[in-house]
Amino acid sequence: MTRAGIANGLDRALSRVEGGLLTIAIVAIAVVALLTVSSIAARYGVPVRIPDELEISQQLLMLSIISALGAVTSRQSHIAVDILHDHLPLRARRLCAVIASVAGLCFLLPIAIWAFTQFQSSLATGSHYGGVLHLPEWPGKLAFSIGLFVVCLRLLLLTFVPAVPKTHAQETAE
Amino acid sequence: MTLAGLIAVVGLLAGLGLIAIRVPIAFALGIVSTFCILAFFSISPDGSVNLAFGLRPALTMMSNNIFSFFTSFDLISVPMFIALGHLCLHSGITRDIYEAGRVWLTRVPGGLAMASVLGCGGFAAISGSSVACAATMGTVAVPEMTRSGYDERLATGSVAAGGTLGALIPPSILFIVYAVFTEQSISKLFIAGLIPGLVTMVGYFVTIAVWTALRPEAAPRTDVRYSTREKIAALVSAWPAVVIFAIILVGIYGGFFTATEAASVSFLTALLMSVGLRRITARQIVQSLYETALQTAAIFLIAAAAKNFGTYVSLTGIAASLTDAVMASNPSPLVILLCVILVYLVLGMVLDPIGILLITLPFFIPLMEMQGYNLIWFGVIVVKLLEMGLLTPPMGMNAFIISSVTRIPSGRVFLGVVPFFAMDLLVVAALVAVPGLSLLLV
Repeated sequence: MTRAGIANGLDRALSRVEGGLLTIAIVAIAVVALLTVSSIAARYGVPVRIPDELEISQQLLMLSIISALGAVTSRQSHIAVDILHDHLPLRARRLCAVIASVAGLCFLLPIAIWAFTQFQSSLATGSHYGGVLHLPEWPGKLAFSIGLFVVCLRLLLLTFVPAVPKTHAQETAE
Repeated sequence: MTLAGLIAVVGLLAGLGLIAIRVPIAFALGIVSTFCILAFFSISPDGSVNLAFGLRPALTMMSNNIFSFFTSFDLISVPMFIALGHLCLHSGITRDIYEAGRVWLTRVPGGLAMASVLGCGGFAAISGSSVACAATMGTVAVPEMTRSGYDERLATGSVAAGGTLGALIPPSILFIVYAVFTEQSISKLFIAGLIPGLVTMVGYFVTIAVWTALRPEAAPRTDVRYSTREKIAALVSAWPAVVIFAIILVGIYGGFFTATEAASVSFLTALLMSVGLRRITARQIVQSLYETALQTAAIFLIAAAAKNFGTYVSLTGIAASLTDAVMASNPSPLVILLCVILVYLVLGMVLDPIGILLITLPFFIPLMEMQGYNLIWFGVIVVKLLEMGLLTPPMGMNAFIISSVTRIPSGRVFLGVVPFFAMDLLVVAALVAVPGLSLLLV
């Protein structure tokens, strides 16, 4: 199999994972909205109180962010500034794209690995958030590290097969 | 300068260099903060370096910082308000305000431009995105104005400037991020931004009125007349937008719920209204949520990276040293404030608002606290300045977006923006001179 073939295969597989995670992210957002409204309703006497809804909402917020990060990276939706980039030749822009991916990896990969060790530690010790339900800490930490690993995989792929962002002029022309 | 200070300055410059070559702001800030924090824990007081020693505390700190930031309860309002904006955009609720303004102001000189400012203000306030406002209203309001014989500069300038109103009029993502990083009340910031937002809007109306008075050919009077019945119908059709504003303002100000809760309530209300009025399809709802998830993740990653950088600044005491250095030269508080304003105006020309906010706050907040300035008042001024950055070249996003959707050269759009930018400077001066404009309702 050629290098391009491997890259395409990886890209397709990763895109599927990112798509699935993005769906989890939107479900998490919707559930957070419902939980918040239910807590208001409970405050005004409607019997819908969900125990530990604050902790659940916080964990769901994290889940919604971390699950969407892979898709953000693959769609190149990270907020960036085009001030010099648009004036550079294609080769230089390709180099910039590689630098961007390497910078992202240097930032996120150590944290992903560390987060995984923290997940293992939480699982081993059985640590939890207290409250009524004693929600365990490990699912959130596992989700956190998985989300970061997916972003790192995408960044690794983009390092070897850089996707050069379009210039402002190209976007306008389209 | 201390070693820690030197590392921070070099790191910050390297970060800005990376941002300039289109490395995403989150990655640039992230890698800079990673190296800075690692250096902090690895360099011992005698100057020897032991990376293995520093790795563990550095990674624990950065990982915990990001995790705790992603699980911050106050920030739940960010995805909710973003979702509200996308829903209202898809269902057309945000456009209703412009339509009502257009019908009511059509006979006033420059009325279409004023309606655009009104529509953009409402649109951007609900959607929370000046850029989305520029993109949408650029395709709706600008062609209508140019068809009516309006000067292209007035047409595009009014829409570009109108879009910046959204950050001051609640809900505002910039206020939420500022509040979380400076430990201020989101609700108070929302309320504090209301009068400055309205003052800016009136300022834009005055700009249009003066422009059309000096050059009547820039906005020819239209022959179109609307009956009272049509005017009332247009006003009534904007009721969903009014309900959303009312929920947010009355809910927070009346003490019925917090800003975070207001975000969820307004989002679900907008969803129910859009579905009930059959103004949105299931596909559009899902699309709105997808866009929300992507935008939220992008914003949070920048903020988390900046939080790590802020942690480094706090650890090393650089901000305190900077404050001491500034105070040693004994400048007047007004001079310090003017310098800060200048920094924001310059950075606004080249950087994204959230990026600027998060890079600068660790340095400026201690300085402002030392001067005894109210941080709610300062937050309003900062957010106003950040939005002005969307109008200034070379990176004025609103101007570029309008240029790209209308095919009007960006140079003409920037020319059209100049009078509105001048008015913005006057508004900033008023906000500085009269803190009551921001603090009256707080």
